[in-house]
Amino acid sequence: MTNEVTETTGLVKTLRPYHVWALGVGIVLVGEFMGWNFTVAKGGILGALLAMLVAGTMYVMISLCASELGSATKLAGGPYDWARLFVGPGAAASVGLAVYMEFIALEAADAIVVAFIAQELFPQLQVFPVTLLVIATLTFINYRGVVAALTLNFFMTAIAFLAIILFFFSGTFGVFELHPENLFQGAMPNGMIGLFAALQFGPWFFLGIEGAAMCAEECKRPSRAVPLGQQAGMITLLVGAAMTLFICANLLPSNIPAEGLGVSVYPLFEAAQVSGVPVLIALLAIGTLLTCVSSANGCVCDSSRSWFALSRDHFVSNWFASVHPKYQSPYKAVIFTMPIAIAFAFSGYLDQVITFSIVSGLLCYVLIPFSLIRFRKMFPTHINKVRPFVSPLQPWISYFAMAIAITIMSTLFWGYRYNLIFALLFYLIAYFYFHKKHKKHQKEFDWGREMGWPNPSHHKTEE
Amino acid sequence: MDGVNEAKYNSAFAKDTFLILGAIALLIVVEGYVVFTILSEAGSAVAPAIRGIYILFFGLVVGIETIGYLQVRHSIKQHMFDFKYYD
Repeated sequence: MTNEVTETTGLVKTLRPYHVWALGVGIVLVGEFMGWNFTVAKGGILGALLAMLVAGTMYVMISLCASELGSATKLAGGPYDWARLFVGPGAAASVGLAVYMEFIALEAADAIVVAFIAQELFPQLQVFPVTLLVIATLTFINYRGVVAALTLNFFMTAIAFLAIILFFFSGTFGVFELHPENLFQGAMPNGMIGLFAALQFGPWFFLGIEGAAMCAEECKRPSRAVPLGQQAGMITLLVGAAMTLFICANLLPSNIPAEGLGVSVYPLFEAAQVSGVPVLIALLAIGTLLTCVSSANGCVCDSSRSWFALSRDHFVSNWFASVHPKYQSPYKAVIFTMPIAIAFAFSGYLDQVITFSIVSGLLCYVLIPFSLIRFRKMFPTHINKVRPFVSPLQPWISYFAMAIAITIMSTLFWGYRYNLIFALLFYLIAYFYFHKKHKKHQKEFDWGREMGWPNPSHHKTEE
Repeated sequence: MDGVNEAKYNSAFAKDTFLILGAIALLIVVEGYVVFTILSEAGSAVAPAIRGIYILFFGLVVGIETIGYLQVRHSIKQHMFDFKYYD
């Protein structure tokens, strides 16, 4: 299934662990600057805490699965390639499409938010052209190569994360006054059902961290860079989520559902405003802007790799599988992110776009652990060539992650049932379409030639 | 280990170990502080059995991530010479 173009020109292999960290955290950190606080509107402070812990548990397990699969396969398609190798073509193409949609919808949402922030700073600007400019600029940066794009992400993400750390420690060490009474007053406004309903927004804290493993094909030493960078990213997000929830819940009231933390557009920035410290206000404003840009930037990177991988295996036109001779980037797949992101951005329904992104992500979170279970069954022996990083507690954490993903997906029935049904129908149709299309290009998979691995345990030709 | 500068490798591995242990310590301290502060202020709003769910998931998050990241360190130590991680 390898295409002709990449046999002569491959993707550049220069990325290091901090690039992996920058890709993963860069995409996700925006969810800690905005969006996560809808958990508070549903379930209060205790609902938000439960959503953070439950979603955090799921993402820790997913990221360990992704680290093992990414460092083993070393392929750009991430969840798509894992499902292609270990599950089947229909599931692979559906998950590849889901990854593409997850990240491209997120890119569109990020670009819209950047445009809104720019308009607040400079009221003469209009949202439409600024959104277009953001998408075009990030596409161009990614066209020029992955190293520049992810080095830029590293600095933007580091500044934004430092802003959260500084804000948290300023609060806990008494630079400004905290209001612990807010924690009790807004503890659980909608009762037990609110706690459960809050789970649907839990993924905001971590949505997209699995994408860090998608740069494995471009890493210099993927078996070290992917697990080290991705797990560092996961800890960064867990720490950032806890700090964000704590500081915002202390500073912004949440006892009245129609106002306060639960409905805030930029909760960290608004909490900084309540603190009254000018340096922190400026830092959190910059952090909000930078996380939106870095998230959109990382999304261009990941969505283009997924499309590139789909193209390389003829699920979509093979034309997109070209690698730029000078920049060694999948430039046609990168450019193709632009019209789709623009279409999403100008649909005008930001919350619908984000919900579609979450459903796509949750579908991946069922198929990633499932791919790992299949991988372990097909290649049960731990040998350096096949599995340099062995994630712990398998297969139990894979089963548990799938159960949590399905539980969180079910909570979308509170408020987003039509989005959920539409998205599941969309991927079901995609599954059958790709399964049929695959038959045209089907041939015997040669594990030795394609992956440099021995045949899997169930392989018939060896018997 | 032909042609490998062992001192350089051991030094680079020590830096990775420092990063891993530092990150785990930060995770445990911050996550623990936040979860137990919020539960001590607001936890009385729910039944003790429900509070147990928070403790359970706190343990799962911190425990699985700690074991996972230590496993990353083990993997680097095991393969650093085979795959020439620090060249």
